[in-house]
Amino acid sequence: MKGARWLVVCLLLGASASAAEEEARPPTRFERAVAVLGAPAVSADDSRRAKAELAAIIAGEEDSADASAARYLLGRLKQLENNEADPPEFQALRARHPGHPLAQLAALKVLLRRLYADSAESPDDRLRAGEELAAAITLPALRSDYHLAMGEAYIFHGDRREPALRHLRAAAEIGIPSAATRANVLVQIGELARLSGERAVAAASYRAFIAEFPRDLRQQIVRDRLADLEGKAP
Amino acid sequence: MKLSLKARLLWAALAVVFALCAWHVIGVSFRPGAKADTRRVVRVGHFMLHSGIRDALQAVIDEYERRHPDVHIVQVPVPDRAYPQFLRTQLVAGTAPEIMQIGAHFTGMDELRARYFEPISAIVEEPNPYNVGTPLAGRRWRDTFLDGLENGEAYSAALRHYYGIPLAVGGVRILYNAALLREVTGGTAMPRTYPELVALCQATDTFARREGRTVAPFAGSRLSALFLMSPLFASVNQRLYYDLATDHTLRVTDWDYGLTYLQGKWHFDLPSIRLGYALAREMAQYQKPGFYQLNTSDATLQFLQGQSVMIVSHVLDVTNLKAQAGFEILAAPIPALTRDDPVYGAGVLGPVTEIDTKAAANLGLIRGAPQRDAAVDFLRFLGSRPGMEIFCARSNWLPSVEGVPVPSWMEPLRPQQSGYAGRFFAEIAGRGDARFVVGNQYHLLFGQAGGVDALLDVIRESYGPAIRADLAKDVRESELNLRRQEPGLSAAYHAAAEGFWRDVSSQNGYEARMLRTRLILSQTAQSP
Repeated sequence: MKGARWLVVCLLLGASASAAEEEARPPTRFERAVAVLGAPAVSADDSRRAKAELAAIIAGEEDSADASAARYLLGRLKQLENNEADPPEFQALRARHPGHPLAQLAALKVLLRRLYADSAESPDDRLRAGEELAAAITLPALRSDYHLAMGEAYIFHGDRREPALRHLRAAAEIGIPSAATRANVLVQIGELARLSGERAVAAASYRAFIAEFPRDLRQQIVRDRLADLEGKAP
Repeated sequence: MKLSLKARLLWAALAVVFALCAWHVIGVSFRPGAKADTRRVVRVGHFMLHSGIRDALQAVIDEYERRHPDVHIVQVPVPDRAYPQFLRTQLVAGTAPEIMQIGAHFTGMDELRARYFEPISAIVEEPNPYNVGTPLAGRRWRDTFLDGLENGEAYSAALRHYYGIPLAVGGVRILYNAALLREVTGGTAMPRTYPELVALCQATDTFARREGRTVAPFAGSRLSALFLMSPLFASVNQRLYYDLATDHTLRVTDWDYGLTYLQGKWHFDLPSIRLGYALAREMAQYQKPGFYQLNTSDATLQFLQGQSVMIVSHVLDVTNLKAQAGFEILAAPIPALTRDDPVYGAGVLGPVTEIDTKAAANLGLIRGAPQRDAAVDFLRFLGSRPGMEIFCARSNWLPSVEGVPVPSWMEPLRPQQSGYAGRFFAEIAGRGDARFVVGNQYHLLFGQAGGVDALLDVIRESYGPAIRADLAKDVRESELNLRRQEPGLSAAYHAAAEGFWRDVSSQNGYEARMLRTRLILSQTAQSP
């Protein structure tokens, strides 16, 4: 009888120890912090504690996958809450693991902020910085977003048609997950190519748009543009 | 331990009560023929209290329950005025029905969607199993809807996710009293061009004076007048519209009207803008005096009493009107302006397309719904061709799903496919402060002593600050949305969830637009 009691006590202690062990594991701590930060009404104290938890994961095992995820989330929150364009966590992530998907994503997020920063930096310098990033972003899903960002930035900063067209065509070739964005890009390629005198490129892009987006509001105007290119009356 | 007499009596009383309750429960449970309802219950909260719509929805439910005897679908209809409060309180309390109607115009709808509605983007990318055996079999579910789910209720541009399944296609038509039109013109042919429409309006006024009857060309209300003026104003400004799409997308978004205004790319004294307002004033002459103070029900009453030849109405209201009218009601599109129009033609490209007419009455899925799977399955049935055939046959609403047949009288309600952009009038007014700054001054345009200059003298000064406030608010909301999305995205990455990179891509596009807007607001801070 006495032995059975001890067995139960040992089992309970063992279970609570393994639960505590599970609670202390970085993935569990990361998930806990994310759950707190994602709650609809997170208090300032809870938010601070969750961020401290993320910082502790980074301090505990600097090069683990959990630490990279924690670095990304902490950096991202600084971007969004404190308007820090390139937070230290992003810099550390890019320096330690430049090829890591989250490091590439962080680089793209930093670029977006730089392209449209309210600063004295010239458009030329911003766009040059964007071009220099090209080699660092290798993940196909992000390369498409990178080219889209650059294409739109070239249009925004002075309607520079040739580089904008080059980037938008690259994005379209890689693949654009959002249908609405792809529709826009096909029209943009058509328009930019038409204005640059690349009639074949323009016509191909217009045709792709007409075929792929039959319900789009721009069907008629794109058909008109194509007819103009082909020398037919719209 | 010895209990006092009082305590013993109390315990005895409790025992008796317990025994009675137990006896009652046993009696109910073992009553001959008694059977507990073990069906899974899915509730559908909506504000579609229009004539016949609840019955139409119930017909779909009945068929669904016949196919799935283990599921019970319950409608929770709520009057439209109370619905926004109902929606919010139910969501916050965690007691919301599994499925709820979405209203894109509700205050804070994006916030509600972000927090409480489940994105159905992945679901609508797959074929709908209930379309098996129909021409829609195997097609991505989203593509089987006439609008491809590209409406503000089904799709949140801010959150870049799909949330709703629509039940009908919207749109606006001129409905006319066929008998009265015959009295006025001797026939039932409706005008096809703007000059013909003006001629009909003039003929109606002449008829009313000659016969000494109270008959106006249009039954007037604020909304029906704006329905009429909006596409005509937009036609006059079609060339300007495409000029404003400086990002080469040939498309101007809600945000772009305000941004391009702040950037000085258009202003209220452009010839086409002034012409558009002049046209709106011309159309105002043919509405009942004081129309801008009247609401839709006033206009409906006027039309039903035979005091106007035409009413401009949302197609979803056609069923109601036909049920109440003592005369034949027919439908026609709003006549188009043409490039050769001697007054208004300079900025016109052609008819206004309705190819992107938005579907309406969207039902969304509540995040964490207890009967989530059954709710998804019911939405699939409702949004399938068989489900929509049942709904359309009872509701007389234009179906939201492709290929569903409609009665012949509804054919003119179908959206016009070819044509050009046509929402300029509505969209320059913005969605927040600017809407009130512009909309509240239209009496200056429509009043007898008013005119285009009277309106522009006022809104020229107030529009810039108002649209700036709207855009700044949009930026703040976007920043909050991005912040809200981030933990969820991190969790998805950590869990190697499917669709993570697609969501990231959506977020990148959304974020770039927000950053551009913020920069333009800063760059134009000194502009009027």
